[in-house]
Amino acid sequence: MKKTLGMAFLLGLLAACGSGDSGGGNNGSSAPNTVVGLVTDIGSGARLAGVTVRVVGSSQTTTTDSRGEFILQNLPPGLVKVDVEKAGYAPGHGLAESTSSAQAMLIALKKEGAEQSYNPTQARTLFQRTEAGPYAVIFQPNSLNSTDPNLRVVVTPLDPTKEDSALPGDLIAGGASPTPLGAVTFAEFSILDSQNRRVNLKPGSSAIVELPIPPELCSRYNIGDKIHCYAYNPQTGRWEDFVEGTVERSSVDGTTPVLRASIRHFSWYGGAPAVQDQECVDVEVRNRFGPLAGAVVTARPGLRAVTNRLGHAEITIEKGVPVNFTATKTYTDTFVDNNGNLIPKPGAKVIDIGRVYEDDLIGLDGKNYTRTPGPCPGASGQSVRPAATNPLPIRVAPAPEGFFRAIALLQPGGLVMVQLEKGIPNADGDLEDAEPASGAKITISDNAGKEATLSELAPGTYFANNFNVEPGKRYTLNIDADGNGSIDGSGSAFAVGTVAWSNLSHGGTYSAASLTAAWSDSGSAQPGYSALYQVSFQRIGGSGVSDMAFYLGSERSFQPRAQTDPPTPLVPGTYTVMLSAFSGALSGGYLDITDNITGIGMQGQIYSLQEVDPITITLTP
Amino acid sequence: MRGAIWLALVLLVSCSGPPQRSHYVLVSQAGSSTVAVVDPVQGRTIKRITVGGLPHRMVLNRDKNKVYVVLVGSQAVAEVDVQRLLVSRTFLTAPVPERRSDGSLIQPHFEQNAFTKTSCFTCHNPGGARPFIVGERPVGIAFSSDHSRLFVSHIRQGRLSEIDLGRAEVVRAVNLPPSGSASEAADVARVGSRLVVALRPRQPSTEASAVRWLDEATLDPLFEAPTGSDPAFMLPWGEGALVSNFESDTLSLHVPGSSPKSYTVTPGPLGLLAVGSGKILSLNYYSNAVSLVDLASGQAEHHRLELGGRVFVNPTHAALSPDGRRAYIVSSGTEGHLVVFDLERRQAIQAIPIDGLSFDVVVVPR
Repeated sequence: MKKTLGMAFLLGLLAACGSGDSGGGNNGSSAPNTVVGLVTDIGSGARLAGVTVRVVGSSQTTTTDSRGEFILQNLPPGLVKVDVEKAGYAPGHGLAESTSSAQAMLIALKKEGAEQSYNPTQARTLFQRTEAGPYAVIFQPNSLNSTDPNLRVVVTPLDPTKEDSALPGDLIAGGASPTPLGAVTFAEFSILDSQNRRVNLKPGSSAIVELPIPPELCSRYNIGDKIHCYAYNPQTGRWEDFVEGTVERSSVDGTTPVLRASIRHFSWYGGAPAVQDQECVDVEVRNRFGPLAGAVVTARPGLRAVTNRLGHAEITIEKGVPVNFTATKTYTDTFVDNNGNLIPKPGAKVIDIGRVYEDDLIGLDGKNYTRTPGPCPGASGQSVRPAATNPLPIRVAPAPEGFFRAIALLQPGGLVMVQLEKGIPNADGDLEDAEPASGAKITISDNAGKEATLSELAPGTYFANNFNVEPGKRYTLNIDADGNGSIDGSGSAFAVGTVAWSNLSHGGTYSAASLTAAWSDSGSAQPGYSALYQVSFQRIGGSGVSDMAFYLGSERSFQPRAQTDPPTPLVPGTYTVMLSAFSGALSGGYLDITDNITGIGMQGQIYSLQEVDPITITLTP
Repeated sequence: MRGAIWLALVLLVSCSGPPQRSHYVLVSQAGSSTVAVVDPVQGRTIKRITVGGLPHRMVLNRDKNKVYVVLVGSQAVAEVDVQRLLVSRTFLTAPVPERRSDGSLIQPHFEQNAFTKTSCFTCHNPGGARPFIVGERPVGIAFSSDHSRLFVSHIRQGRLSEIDLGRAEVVRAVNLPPSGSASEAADVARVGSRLVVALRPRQPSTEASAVRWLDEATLDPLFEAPTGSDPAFMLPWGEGALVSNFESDTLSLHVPGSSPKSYTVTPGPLGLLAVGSGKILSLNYYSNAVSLVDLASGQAEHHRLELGGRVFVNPTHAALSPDGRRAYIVSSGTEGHLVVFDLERRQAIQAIPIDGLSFDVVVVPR
């Protein structure tokens, strides 16, 4: 008996040593063939309760709990595909591997577009407009597999430059040698009949869709360019039916550059060319106890990898573009308390999540992270890197329980300021009972290695000392809202460039009939830069429609014309002329505000603006 | 005992079979700028040959020692030496331009002496000059009657180029006049001493395309007939050409002097393969199926492309094994597979992983 007790004590000591060796708390027990999931709203970051989760090809279903989480157990080995459904949201889909340890599945749902009625005997163009332009579907008569005259069509747009985590599946041309696909523009198309059944195209029929090129990608694509398009197949969990689409002007508004393509099956659909410029990045996933083995790392645009026993993984990404890295690790039947102890808790659903948004892999600490040209060598995916390498760190921790909202301002030539609030999101995603959120860790970085950690100036107000925002440069904000070491939300925006009049000067005299007002922007040469300009001409002492002209758009010139029908030159006189520039969360023809800081449990906006000093000019006939 | 071992060895050899051991299968992998060399016996890719941007259609020469690969993204054709499994030459299919479409000078073309290159891939490659995809987008390919030249059709400007394989250069080129809105030369085939070109409108479109016949010697147009809005491939068949109408579920047989004859398959016919006995195999991209069509009777049987409960999506092209009993089919979804289809049992019997977004396939001797 003594001997047995002694052996048990020794085993206990060994177990304790083992746990210390791996950093402590990193080997939580994890059930095999189990998937633990978290469903959130991509717009607000809020956890979504009551979401129906169905395993594709099986009768297994479940529902998310009050924390937006679900667990699926006793799954067959291999790829697990799930469909998720919640009223008011576009259909969502998730993928994970059922293996010897539990895996995490993060699913972000997008609020669906407005419902529109359609009689399938008619030719019709239906569209949903966003700040990027009209997302359209063009039906041929009698092309659907329903004769119900009261169909409802829902088009849900998705801008991958802001919402890529809501795209289902892996954007990968897989097979023998996987290649990442670079998302350009997407939408989900749902058609429902009077009985709420899904309707699709007849076999052999097609429709045409037009998807706007997001403003941030407009400089990359020209009219006439071809872009590969795919439809998501929930049954296989893959993007399929590759066809070439063409960049053309929208048939709805005649101006917006759109990807126009033929669609054969209504589902998620969009354009994503194969990524040619690839590089292999060394990443290291850590939780607060140390390096984490078995964490799944996903890069967009890029591939997927699993960390080795040192917490390292090599992962292929697209070179020279902003990349979102997400790492997950899940535990079941245990949870980790504040002291790092593993506490038995049957049925626990613990997901450690870490995100890093990197503009050009010259990271937050100003270092160039280890990377090599071309895709990662397939065989060395699990190799242990030499200690001399400088892996990109990804810190993981449980997603925040609260809900945060950030507003960040980049003042060109000046400062960066962030306001962070914590509260409860209502149905529209707005915070109720919001209070300033203290204790956050917020960093700002540019794409050349310059970075700063913001100080908390007052509760919930953060400010970067000694960090000068350079006009025309892109900045990335990473926010650890609850201060637990993992990034909860991130976003990026260009600081507005230096904007100045090209052909107008204070006190100048110009012909109203021939004047084209033009201005320059030092940021316009940067790839991905897209500013919005607001210009107003107001005659001093005048208030009629012929005394004022107004422009809001992304061009850098316009002809000031009175708001008459037809438009006419402004009446002669002395005018005050104002010019402002915006970038980031402010966009579109109506200066729409869109969230560009996203994450789980948080949302917000990062933006920049510049006002040029008003000038006074004289207009002659 | 020794006799038993000998017998076992003989049986083993006869089971594995000389036809299977005598060939490789080459697959154009558009996503990775490569051609995969697949050993069907080992069931795996044994080599990847970098050929250039967006490799698509491939043709094997009469001597079966050269494969010509159309590089849609590099405005070139790559010649692959079958014995060495290497690119031996590349040919431009159209001149390197001096100016962009807006009239501005392309200065790097002068600085890099681009006009002496034989493929745009020399400079426009992963990590190289941008954009990666450039040029007139060659797609269709066919041998001349004497096999000394190649005809290549282009999407942009409807260009048809003739490449002399001896001189390794374009010796003749014409911009084909559009037929209505059909201006993209989507494919070219040779039927006797005539060329047949499929002209389609810019996609997506619901307007008609045209099948135009040309005199091979003069490139003068002879006759023309309308077809579906998106003709994808043309297979020479007797005096005519069988056209796959990708936007529909039909094939149409165009014979000069006769009305086109239509055959119904399943949605999305793309590649066509003659399998003997007056039959063809239609690869039906959108329906993940193949159709075996008897062109004399018009009878067709359709088979879903699946194996072990798994569906292999988006078949594009196929090639016949040397013994004529199997078809190697490219399943071109984002998960790529080379599916071995038994033509007698009418079912898939093997699936070999290849790159996603692969396109064409040829069988070459080992």
